[in-house]
Amino acid sequence: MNKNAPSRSEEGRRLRHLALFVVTVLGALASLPRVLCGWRADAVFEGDLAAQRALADGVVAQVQRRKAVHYYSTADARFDGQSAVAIDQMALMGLSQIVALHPELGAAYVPVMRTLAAHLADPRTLDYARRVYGHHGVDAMGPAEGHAYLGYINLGLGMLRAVDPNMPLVALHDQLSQRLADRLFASKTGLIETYPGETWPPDVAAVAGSVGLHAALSGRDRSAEIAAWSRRFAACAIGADGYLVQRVQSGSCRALDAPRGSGTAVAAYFLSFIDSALARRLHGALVSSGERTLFGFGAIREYARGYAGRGDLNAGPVVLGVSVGATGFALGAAGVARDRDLFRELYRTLDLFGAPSNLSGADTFVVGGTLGNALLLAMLTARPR
Amino acid sequence: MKPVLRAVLVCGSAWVVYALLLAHLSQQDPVFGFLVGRDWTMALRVLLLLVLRLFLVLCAPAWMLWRVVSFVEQRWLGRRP
Repeated sequence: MNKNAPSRSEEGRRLRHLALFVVTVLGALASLPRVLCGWRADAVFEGDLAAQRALADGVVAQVQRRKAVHYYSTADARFDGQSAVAIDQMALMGLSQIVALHPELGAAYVPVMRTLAAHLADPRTLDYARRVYGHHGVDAMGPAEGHAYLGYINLGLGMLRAVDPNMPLVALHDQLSQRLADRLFASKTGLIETYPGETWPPDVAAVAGSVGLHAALSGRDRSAEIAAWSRRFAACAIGADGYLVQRVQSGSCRALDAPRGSGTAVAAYFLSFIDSALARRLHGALVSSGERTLFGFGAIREYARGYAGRGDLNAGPVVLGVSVGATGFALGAAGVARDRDLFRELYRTLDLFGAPSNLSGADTFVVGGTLGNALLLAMLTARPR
Repeated sequence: MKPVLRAVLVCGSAWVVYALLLAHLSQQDPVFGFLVGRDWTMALRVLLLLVLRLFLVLCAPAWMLWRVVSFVEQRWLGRRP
């Protein structure tokens, strides 16, 4: 018998040691990170005053650093304009949701919101629209022109009006809402163009949300028109897995892009302002077909089953099939659907990869920059109307 | 006790570097720096921040816990490493 061979008891101890190692590491992975990254999720979900104020203060500090027309000045005029519109609009939405829940914060945030709304409605902010149409939709809209980018602007104005009924831009909000509603409800597909030759269903969801919000604020009953529009929109734009198709050919329902998680999630949030059943349907698709979880961390698949791609600026990076955009926007979909479980899982992932920071009492996600933090403010504070 | 102390020292150092980098990047806009300035050092700083965060959230707790469990096992269950 080999003297160097381990005895049975020694081998047993080694096996026990290995088993203890595996159990400890797996147990730690399954329990500790989810607590470290998720302990604030419930406070944010519930609309806790301190949590919401810290998020709002972080975004307010960032948007007030803007020194020119645009937040970002790249060589791409479309990106510069659209990112400025997205930052102003999402900051407005987030701040409005916070003030609606905590009216005592209105005195602090409404002046900032008025500045954001004025910038949002300034045609110079999205000069790209003037270049492609020959005029900006805030100034004029030709009979056959869609101008669906106005959905973002109009939704931002509506969210300010919801907490500041005497805002200076009431007349513009009425005018844009009427023009967009006329186009939306007259469309046979339920869709209108964003720019000439470009039709994006998520943009149309923003238009529809802005029209629904205006109807609610003005007390106008549009329920019959909205129900008919919802049927046309769903028949045309909802594809595989219940995901929303990202882009279609103008004037038809022919898909030019895949059904995508980022568009589905942001549309679920926007549509909650006009048709809560349709918003819930998209949220249901995200949960049943799109969600991926590991150790309590959740993320949303970007492409519907049977489709693949690398994503784009809307989706952000796509890693292992899940995207930053779909995951971030799904926080808003979970908020309006009051889906606490989904919210918690997505929040943990946001906390892990967003690198949260709290300097001077203001919360920001360092990786997100001004754009990411404005988007997250709207998504993290989303609630059903 | 040495392995436990080593784990505490490594994790503590990583936490200090992470906190300093976080404070530094909180004053910047990584999206702006990378998209507008094509600042690759910004991308590297963000990448380092994320690597440290993943280590501190995912690996460090498991490692510390294992060191403690291993120490207890050695002390009370009589295993000689």
